[in-house]
Amino acid sequence: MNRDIPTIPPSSGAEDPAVLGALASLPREQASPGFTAAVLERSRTAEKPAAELGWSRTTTLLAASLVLVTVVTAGMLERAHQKKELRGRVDALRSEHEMLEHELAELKRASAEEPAVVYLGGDENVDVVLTFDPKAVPATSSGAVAPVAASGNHGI
Amino acid sequence: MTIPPTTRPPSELEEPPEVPTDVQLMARMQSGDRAALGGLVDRHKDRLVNYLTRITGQRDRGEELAQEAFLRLFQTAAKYREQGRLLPFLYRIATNLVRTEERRERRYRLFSITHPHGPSGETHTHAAGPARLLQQEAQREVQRALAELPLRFRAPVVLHGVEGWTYQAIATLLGCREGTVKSRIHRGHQRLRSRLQGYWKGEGQ
Repeated sequence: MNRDIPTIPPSSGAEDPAVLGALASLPREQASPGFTAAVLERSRTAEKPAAELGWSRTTTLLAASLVLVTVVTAGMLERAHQKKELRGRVDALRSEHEMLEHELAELKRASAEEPAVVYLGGDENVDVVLTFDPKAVPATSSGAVAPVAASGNHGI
Repeated sequence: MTIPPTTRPPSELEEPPEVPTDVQLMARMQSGDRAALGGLVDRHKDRLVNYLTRITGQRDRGEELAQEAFLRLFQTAAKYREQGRLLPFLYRIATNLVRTEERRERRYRLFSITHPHGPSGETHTHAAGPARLLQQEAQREVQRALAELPLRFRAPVVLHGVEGWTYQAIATLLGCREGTVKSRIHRGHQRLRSRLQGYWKGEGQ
């Protein structure tokens, strides 16, 4: 036994003698003849570990943390950029919608207040106009305006 | 360059060559001396191969991990601070290698430690009579039972029962309290007994 490993006292209390006997019956394995040569060969071909290259564990951890923070930050920035872009598009659609609504309301109001009238022609006595006003009444006397109902027969 | 082993036949002791200690070899290795690595390997390879064979349940795997442990020792030599504890340091590297490998295996489900690759290399294959065959069979059974133990029990059981370490030395190596080591050995032995009980009874009939 090596001097830096204390050997066990005859009885240590926790062990089962039968199990201990079974364990002690196991044969001692020995390294194969080429073992040392193989280790030396591997030590020549093995890459130098990070510690030898000046990379301490702390440095490695810091580098890993930095990469992680960079990735997370980039992800957050990308997400924020996408949100901003989407918000801009939604705003544009909303303003366009408001504008259309406004235009529609304008048109409705205009059509309600002042029915459209188209002057078709006429002479000194009669003016022929096309009106969309359902309340328009055809003229019967000379010099009057003769409206033409948009939905009915056109006549003087 | 060859480092003489610790023990030599008496015929070679007429002019006893100066045998470097582990401390001296480590110091030389820390300055990149590969021959010093060879010396340390020669000195400790058998016990490490034996320990890893018992821990893994496979001779080839034990030897491969032992090589890897010596390689790690060489690579981390710069970080080693001499306190007269080279062997615990080496065993800790070896145990951590086993732990890492078993975790990886569990993760990828390549194979289970409860089904080691059979007895090949586990025992010496001498031509033998029935008594020897029975003994080999018993050893295989013990090895199989050992391989089924979780590593937290297996490592202290092997260190104590096979390698002969004290509770205190095992506690230092595993980085836990002596009471924990005792408890793990006790529970490990209980499991081994319950696993081997049937075989022992059958063998006695």
